[in-house]
Amino acid sequence: MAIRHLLHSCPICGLVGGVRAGERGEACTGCGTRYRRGRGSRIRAQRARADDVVLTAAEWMQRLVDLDDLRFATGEPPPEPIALREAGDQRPVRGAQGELLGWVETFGAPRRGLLSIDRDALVFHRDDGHSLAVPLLDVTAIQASSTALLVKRRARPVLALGFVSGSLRLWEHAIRLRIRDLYRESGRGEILDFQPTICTRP
Amino acid sequence: MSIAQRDVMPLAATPVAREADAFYHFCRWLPRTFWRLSAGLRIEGLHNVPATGPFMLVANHQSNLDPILIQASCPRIVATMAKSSQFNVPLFGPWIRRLYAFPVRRYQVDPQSVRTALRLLATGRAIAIYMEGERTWDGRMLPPRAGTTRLVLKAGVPVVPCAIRGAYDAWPRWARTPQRRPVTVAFGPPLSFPRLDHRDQREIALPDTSARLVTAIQALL
Repeated sequence: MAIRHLLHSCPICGLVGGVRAGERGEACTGCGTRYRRGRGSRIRAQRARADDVVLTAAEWMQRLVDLDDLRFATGEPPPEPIALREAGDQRPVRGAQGELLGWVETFGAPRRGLLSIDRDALVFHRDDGHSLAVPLLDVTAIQASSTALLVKRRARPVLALGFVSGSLRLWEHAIRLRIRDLYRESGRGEILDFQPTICTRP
Repeated sequence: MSIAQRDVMPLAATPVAREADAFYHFCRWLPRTFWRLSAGLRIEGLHNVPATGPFMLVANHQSNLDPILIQASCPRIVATMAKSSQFNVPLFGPWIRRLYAFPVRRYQVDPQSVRTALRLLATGRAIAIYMEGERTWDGRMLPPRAGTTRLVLKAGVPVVPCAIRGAYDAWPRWARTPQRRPVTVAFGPPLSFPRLDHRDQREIALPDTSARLVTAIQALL
């Protein structure tokens, strides 16, 4: 995980998706503010020609627009470099006496490319030219994990989207927002929850 | 009862009988001792942990340290519901399985994890669940997952609310590595909920039960 996943926008200049990973650590592409972890849950913002600002994560979050109220100027976030992994088979996990405890998915090798949101699909353009489209109405759940955003498709294996330099939370929000809109437009109802599966109110 | 009034018991004085599993208790002792000496670990309300019989430990989730420090603090063997992807991590996966963790796939309804939880409770074991379903991003508790509450109502066993404080400072979700910060694990008085066998009954009882669980955990924070 990284600070950019928490700070979906730059708290100093307000640029949505501005905090990104780069060669010099995590910094805003708009105002150049660098963000580093301080003591405990504090985050230090280092600005050129200005004093550092050190606040707790909760205090930084209070300076940001609440994710639920966040909208994108262009309607959707710009394409984002990701590493996509697709789950393969599920394997059983057994206890000491051989009893079945549960099932675990195994993920394939990561494939690099660009992720974008169309009107009604998530599109992954692989670096080798192939592309994969996931209709948003086929998405049954979205879950942020430690290193990736998990997207479950109806009757298809789960996809793990690892964000190379962008904010996982921002994309989680963007995908949820689009799915909410599509559900309303298609008369499927108002989404109440995305986890463990999307559930709606008619 | 305020936090100041709540007694803090050393583990040696706990009335709870230890269950036999030397490896498990070694794995409890190691992080407990390390964290206590290097950063500070305070354990409150140990007398609230049932000495025998099944119970559910329902906790908040602040960091990756939570399962380690909660299991290290609880004198009973606790089987923790853990996200499925952790079982794929080399060495770590087999290790948490040895420590009685069982997997849940969080992006779908996972009936096997519910069956496993109920089976463990039926054999008198304790299970631990993080009711937010994932770690907090900014230190504030996330809304509870309905699945946890449904399981509480399906099981009908005592529920021990558990709060972990300070773990977010030690290792927030957005940080790559932990820092040594003092952590407190607090166990609250057990709550009892009826066992509801019908889905309709559970759905009706869901909001009140969730609210009681959240209130009980927040009172310990």
